[in-house]
Amino acid sequence: MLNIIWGSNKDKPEAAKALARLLSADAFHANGYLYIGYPIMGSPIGPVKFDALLLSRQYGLIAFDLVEGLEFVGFEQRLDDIASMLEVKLKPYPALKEGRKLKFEIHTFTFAPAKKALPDSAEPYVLTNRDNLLASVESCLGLSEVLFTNLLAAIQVVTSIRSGKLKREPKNAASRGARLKRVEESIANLDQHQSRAVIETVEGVQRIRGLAGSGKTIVLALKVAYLHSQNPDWKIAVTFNTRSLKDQFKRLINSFTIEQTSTEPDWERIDILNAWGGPGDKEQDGIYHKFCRAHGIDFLDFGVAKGRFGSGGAFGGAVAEALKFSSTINPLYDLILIDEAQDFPPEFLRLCHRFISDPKRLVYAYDELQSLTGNAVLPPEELFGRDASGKPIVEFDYSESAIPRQDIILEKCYRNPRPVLAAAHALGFGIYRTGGLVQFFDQNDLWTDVGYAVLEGQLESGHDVTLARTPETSPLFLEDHSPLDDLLSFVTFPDATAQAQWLFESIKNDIESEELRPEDIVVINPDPLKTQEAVGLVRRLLFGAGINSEIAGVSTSRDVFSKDGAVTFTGIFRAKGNEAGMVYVLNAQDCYSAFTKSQLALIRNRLFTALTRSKGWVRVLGVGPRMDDLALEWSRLKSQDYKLKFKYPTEEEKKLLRLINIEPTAKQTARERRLQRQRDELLQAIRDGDIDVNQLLSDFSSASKETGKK
Amino acid sequence: MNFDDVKLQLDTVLGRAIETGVSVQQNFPKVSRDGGGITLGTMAGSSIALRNVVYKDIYTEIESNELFHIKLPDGGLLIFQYTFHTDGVLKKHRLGFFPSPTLPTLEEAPELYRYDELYGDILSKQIVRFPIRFDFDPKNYRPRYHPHSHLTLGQFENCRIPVTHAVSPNGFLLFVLRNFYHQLYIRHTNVFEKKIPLCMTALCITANERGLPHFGFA
Repeated sequence: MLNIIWGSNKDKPEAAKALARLLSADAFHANGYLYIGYPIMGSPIGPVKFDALLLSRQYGLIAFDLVEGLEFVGFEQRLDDIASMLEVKLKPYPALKEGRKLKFEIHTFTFAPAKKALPDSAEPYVLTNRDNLLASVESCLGLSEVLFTNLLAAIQVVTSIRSGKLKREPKNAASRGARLKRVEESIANLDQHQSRAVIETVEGVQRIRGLAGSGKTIVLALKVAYLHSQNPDWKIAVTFNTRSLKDQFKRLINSFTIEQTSTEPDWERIDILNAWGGPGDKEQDGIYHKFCRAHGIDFLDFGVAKGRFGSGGAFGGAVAEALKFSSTINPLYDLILIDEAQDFPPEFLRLCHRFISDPKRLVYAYDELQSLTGNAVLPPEELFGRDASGKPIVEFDYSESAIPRQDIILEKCYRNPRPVLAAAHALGFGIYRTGGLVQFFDQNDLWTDVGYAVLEGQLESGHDVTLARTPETSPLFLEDHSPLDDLLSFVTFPDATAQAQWLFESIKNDIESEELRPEDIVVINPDPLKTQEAVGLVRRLLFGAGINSEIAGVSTSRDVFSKDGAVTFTGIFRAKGNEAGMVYVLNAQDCYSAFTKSQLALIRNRLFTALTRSKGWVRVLGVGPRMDDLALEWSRLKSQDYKLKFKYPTEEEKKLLRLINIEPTAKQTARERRLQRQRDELLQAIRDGDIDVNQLLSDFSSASKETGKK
Repeated sequence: MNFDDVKLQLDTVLGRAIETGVSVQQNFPKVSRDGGGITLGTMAGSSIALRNVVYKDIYTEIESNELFHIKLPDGGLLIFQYTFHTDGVLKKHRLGFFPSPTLPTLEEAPELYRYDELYGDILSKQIVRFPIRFDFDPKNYRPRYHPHSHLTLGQFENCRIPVTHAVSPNGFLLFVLRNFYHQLYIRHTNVFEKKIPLCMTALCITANERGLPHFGFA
């Protein structure tokens, strides 16, 4: 079967379509890949763009020069260029060459589908049209299985840039520092799913979903670099929630563009923007602010919006207001990419959509389990709203065969060791919770999409099912560096002081004996309201031992985890989008139970986010009985060998779980809290002997009888 | 005020700032010795003296090169620099408070910092901020124009308000907290008003300067 990977090729759309159609005809058999608009490579004379590339087991490697009209003057020169660039790209791979020569032929064809008659031609300058294309392809020689696999791997390398932070020089090969170094070296390259997600370009809306650590941010950054290189005239914006992503995007886009085109990106055409933004210099700007300015709408800052719509609804409210006003739309961008879309109100995605010129190219990436604010991401048909006639503004083609694919899932997780990820899911969903599930995926196949395999039973309502991650979706090198019990552990303490003391000694040991750098260590406190108080003592102890630390926050917002020489303490919001070798989760008891179901889902998501920051080890620390209960959930998971074994909820049960995402009104919550408090006071009064229990019981039973009658 | 006293007090001050969350990011003050004496809190470059530079640029310079010792939650930066003669006696000091030119202060937007609100820094109000410095520099003493110890507000070239004494690390931190971080100070009074190793210092204001508006700082 031939897989077609459709990149950006706006100059020669007809020729590309004709090529794809001919090569996917039933009469033509090839196993491999056809890339459209890929690769693009930097050379001393500027970027060399490939119109199309066919790599198949049967016919080897064929690079195409596409001719849209009738004129193919100068094709020899173009074919020479692409052939020599391919040699440059492929020769560094030892498996592809023998001595100094490549083990295979690089064929180059010019394909001019509109041309009826062609002059005679011969290798290496082959001219083809609709009539002789297949015959010419079929005259090429095939590749051995091994060579094909190696060549495919080399072609799929979208980038060979390795992460710059590999400065570690461990002395002891068994230390955590040394093990982390080996893990980091193994992660350096993109896999084929990721490269495919980078290249495939939709003339419309595209959705990328993936777990934490599946490479969404890298894919988006590469997409910007790739599309900017292909379409230098496009005005592109990248937007996100966490400020610390800004530098990361800038760095990635810069180096990827240099790699692909040998020139720096034109920053006049690419905006890396916060979602909100404000007046002032370019650094402060944001999508919403730009939209207001472009349409002459009153801009609301956080203070005003909060006053009008409340803290949680501030952004959604401000954006909805702006959408109401704009009768004329002045699209500013040709493409907008949105990272962390799970944290945005739907209004913001609608605003982005309206801010883009036709054909409204928008890419949004998210992980539904990471919503920290309690918003669930709607399906695209609802997310982008409906037009006047009630038709969805955006409709997806979900089929597997859609080319290019609109709906991409990155199932492989390159950050978290398998047990850590399984624990994050088990705790996030409440799989082993005494009170039952906390939340659930709506669609059954999402489980397999995010990389779980069904070991026993089936994903059907009411059936028992056992799910586990496979080495395919959670690579083994992420976990086999350490014993299972060392990767993840839960520790309960009698009080906060004991927790702080233990944490201090553990960090000291990590740095002094285990060769971790302070910046490899991050301490996450899941309750944002308590971070400052919670971390004071540990930080003081560390200071006494000469270990520097910082609290990630509004004023330390650059790359949160990048300050050299300091252990980072962070609340959950700043932790997002970042990763570290050793993660300590502090006060995890705050993630065990909550007053309302929606609050419970929220704090479980926080725990999920905290756990999934680790590319090495996790220590979950907490205090008191609720921590014991949380640890119990984990030990149940552990006794199941990190498999998720549970009864799959029925449609009815799922409906109930879905309701958790609807926030109760503030009044209701306040009332529930008041009742809870009164109940606690009552119980205390009974214990103290202030109230006659028997009298109370008889009052209760008569009250409940009255309710029964009603 | 000698090296050992100041070092001991500065370490205590830093420890308290870290424990209370007053310091969210810190650079431990370095000690360097040369023929001329000992410096505590040595900084590469001395950008705090830049006069004809926009304040925002000065702040960015100090912040991005980590030329500060304490960063407060709202981005305010504190610098403590003391130089001593070889015998340990105080030669000069520069103490600086550089508030963030872009972020709202902790007093203006306490919730932003306390709850770490995601969009809390999106405020269109722009308020003028300026640096505050306490310098002790007896070598450059000039009657009426350059007091031994003086306070400089903003970037006014000849602003040198006389101060009675050299200023200790704790004196400086408390001055900043009480006046500009009142809520933080109130919340942690029990930590900041605890006993601290003393840095005794002699009166250095002249009789003439006493006749002018001046600061009393013991």
